[in-house]
Amino acid sequence: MSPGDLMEMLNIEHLTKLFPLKKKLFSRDQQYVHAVDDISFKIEKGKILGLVGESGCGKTTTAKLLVRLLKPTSGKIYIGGEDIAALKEEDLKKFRKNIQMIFQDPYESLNPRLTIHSTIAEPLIAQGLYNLEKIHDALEVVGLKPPEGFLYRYPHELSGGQRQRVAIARALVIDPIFVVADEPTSMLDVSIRAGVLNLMLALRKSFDLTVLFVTHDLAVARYMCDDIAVMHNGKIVEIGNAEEVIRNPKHSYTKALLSAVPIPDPRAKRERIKIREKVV
Amino acid sequence: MKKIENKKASQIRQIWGLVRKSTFIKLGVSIMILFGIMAVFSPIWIHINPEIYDPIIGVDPNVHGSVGPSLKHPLGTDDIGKDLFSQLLRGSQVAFMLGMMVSVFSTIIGAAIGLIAGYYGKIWDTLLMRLADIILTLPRLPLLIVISGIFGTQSNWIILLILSLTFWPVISRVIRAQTLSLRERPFIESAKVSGVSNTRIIIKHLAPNVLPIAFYYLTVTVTGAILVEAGLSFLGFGDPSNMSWGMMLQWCFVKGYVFKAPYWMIPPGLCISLLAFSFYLIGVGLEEMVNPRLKKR
Amino acid sequence: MDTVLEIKNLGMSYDTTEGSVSAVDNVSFRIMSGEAMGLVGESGCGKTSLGMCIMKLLPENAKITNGEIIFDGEDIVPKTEDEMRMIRWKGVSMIFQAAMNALNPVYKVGDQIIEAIMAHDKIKKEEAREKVRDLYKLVGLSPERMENYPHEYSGGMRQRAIIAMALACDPKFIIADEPTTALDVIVQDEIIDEIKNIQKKLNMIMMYISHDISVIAETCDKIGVMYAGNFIEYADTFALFDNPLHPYTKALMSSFPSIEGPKKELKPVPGEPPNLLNPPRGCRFYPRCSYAEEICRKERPEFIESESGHFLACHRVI
Repeated sequence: MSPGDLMEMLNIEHLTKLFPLKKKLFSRDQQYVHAVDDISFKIEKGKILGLVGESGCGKTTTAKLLVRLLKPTSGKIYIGGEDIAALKEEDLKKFRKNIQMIFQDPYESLNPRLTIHSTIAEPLIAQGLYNLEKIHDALEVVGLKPPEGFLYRYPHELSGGQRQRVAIARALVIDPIFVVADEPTSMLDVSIRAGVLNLMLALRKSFDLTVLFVTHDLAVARYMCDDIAVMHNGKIVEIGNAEEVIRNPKHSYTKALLSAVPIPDPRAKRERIKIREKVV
Repeated sequence: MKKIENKKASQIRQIWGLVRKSTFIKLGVSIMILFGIMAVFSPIWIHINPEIYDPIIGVDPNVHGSVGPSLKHPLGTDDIGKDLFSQLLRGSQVAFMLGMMVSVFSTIIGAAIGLIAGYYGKIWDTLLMRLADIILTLPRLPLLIVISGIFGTQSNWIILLILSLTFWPVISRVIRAQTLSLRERPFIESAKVSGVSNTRIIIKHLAPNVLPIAFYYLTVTVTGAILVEAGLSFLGFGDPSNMSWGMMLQWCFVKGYVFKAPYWMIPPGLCISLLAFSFYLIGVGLEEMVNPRLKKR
Repeated sequence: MDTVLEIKNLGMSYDTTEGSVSAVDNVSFRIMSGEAMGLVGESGCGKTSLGMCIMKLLPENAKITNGEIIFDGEDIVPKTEDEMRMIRWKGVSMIFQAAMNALNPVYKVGDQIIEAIMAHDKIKKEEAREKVRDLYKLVGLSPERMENYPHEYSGGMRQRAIIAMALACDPKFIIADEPTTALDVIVQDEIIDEIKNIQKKLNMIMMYISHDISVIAETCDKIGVMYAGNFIEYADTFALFDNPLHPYTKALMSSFPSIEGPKKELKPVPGEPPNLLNPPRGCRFYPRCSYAEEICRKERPEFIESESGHFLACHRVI
């Protein structure tokens, strides 16, 4: 592999994140929650990996670790060949240019007191790249046309779908090579969702982005992703090509998950495999 | 740039619309304006006849003892012939100035400390909040006495200092609480992911969102400052080179005219209550405005 | 098969500071005994408002502007609050959205349900307790759990408890408003199954409100599609999926990705739902409809039977 190839991958090795539980008063041992428990995977340049699982499985924690909103307890995160897991806060700024995140909540991920212009300008300013043209281009590319009509509006004047497009514009304006999308459409109305998903697919193509797409919705994961990794209790229980994982799941949890997904077709009949984790 | 002005203008218009609708704010502001007029009128009144009407040194030689209201002395005079009306007017100047300055200083200090403690957390939070706790335990009067003793003088500036220093802890706690909840919000996380520096996050992202509650405390602190100053002056610790409502009450009490001269006793007390109340009303009105039920869907 | 619920030309609006919002407009349908009807639509379409109308649990600023809600032979629109109190929980019961927070954290769950029963039926506490025990078994909860507090329950368990409470007074009609939205997929699946089984077992009619057409496809016999306060299509579940007639329904169907079948491209619907303060004069879907014509702009289409049992409000298709 030439240095050029190495630059273009995301490579996670034995990533772990532990959260301390409150210590019992007289106990010596510190208990931990294994939010992310020794996971490893790779994403090739230009591909979208779906990270699916139910709430509490660790997928959001993984997303936050990748953008260093959280510091890993151990493990390596290679982005473009460099390990960002061990970097100190001061050194991270450079790498922030390469990795961006799209958040789940369109109503909360934009500062209500900043105009759209200021919101999208923030990453540019932080990286010393401010340029009004870039902001215009970013808005156009996400379908908010004409850009002048949106620049000086406030988030509360926009619809959920529009806000999420602004969030995407903000993430892409500094030309990152890797994007983490944390449930970007789960809070949008269904008819709006399709538009935003299609937009993300188109942008992946035009900008050759590498994406980690976190979602609890397997149907959306199938639509968006080239590969799927299934997480459960902090571990990756299955990973592979999206169609393969969905058609031929190997792990029992994946099977259970798939059999529980409702199908928009009244004739679908499935066998149900119940997971008895806790006595109810 | 015109577009930005337009948007700001329409925002201001929006807020103005809400302000106009609030009875609390209207009432509060009306009373405040009344006292504002009094404060402005003070030098004009003195100018009519400085020898008689100067609130500190002016004395009416034709008056012996305290007399009731008359055309020449709308509120009467004190026991040595000083005009009470000019004292009242000067008092409103002092109340305003002191009130507002205390409020601005303590709110700025409180907000800055609250933001820093809330955002950085850990050791900063502990240090700053313990400092706030310590200050909260300090009793104002002894503190005033001690500081005045150190400086060798009783002055409104010292009162300003003491009040600003003792008011900020309460504000900082509230701002800290708000900051704690704000810093977990996705738009702050997004700023961090973009590489925005911590200082900029505090100034550009957190501070504006904390503004509404800071505003509210601005108005409420004026109330507190006016009341505390009045109390301190009443106890004899006011600035002798100036006049305030509290001091008027003090002189009335000390000279023994409390029950003998209602025209001396009542006006300053009434003014203290009314002005403090007016700022309180504005605060209530602001709180109403910031209330989530007015948020758009 | 008789009609248990019939809605005729129901209209409801909210008074806001900016004017009157027409949230439900000219809605008519009926639910026959034993049927489960699904009400599907996006946020703001009026489906939750419709559910609230039927329970007459409207906020202060809302009022039913016209129409009838005939439940068990009686029109409940003119009924007073006292009269409605007799009907709620016993005749009509509701599982609210995000119902998990409806449990009071300082009382045991079992006690809360017992209290609910005793507020509506004159029975002794012991009898109520027995009943709750039966209900727990019905919804798949272990009766020992009656002694726990809400925070000791998982999300799925709380939802089951809420369902038990809704069933406590043997209602004839259950309205379930997005009962599984906040739950994980596997738990959602179990709860949906549970609700369906209970409905069949107790022979209740059910109105299942959701934005998720997949969930509705699994649980309901008939489906009503709402858009901007109007009913725009109503048909038997299979008929609707086999042959959606209204352009919005078609668009909605093609917005849902599926894990089965070939991967098809999702087609977004351009534009936004209308502002209900000032809805379009003609068809409310007109601005976003790719089949729209002049008449759609001017006239509101009637909700009429297009094929047997298949109702539609659209100028073009009829």
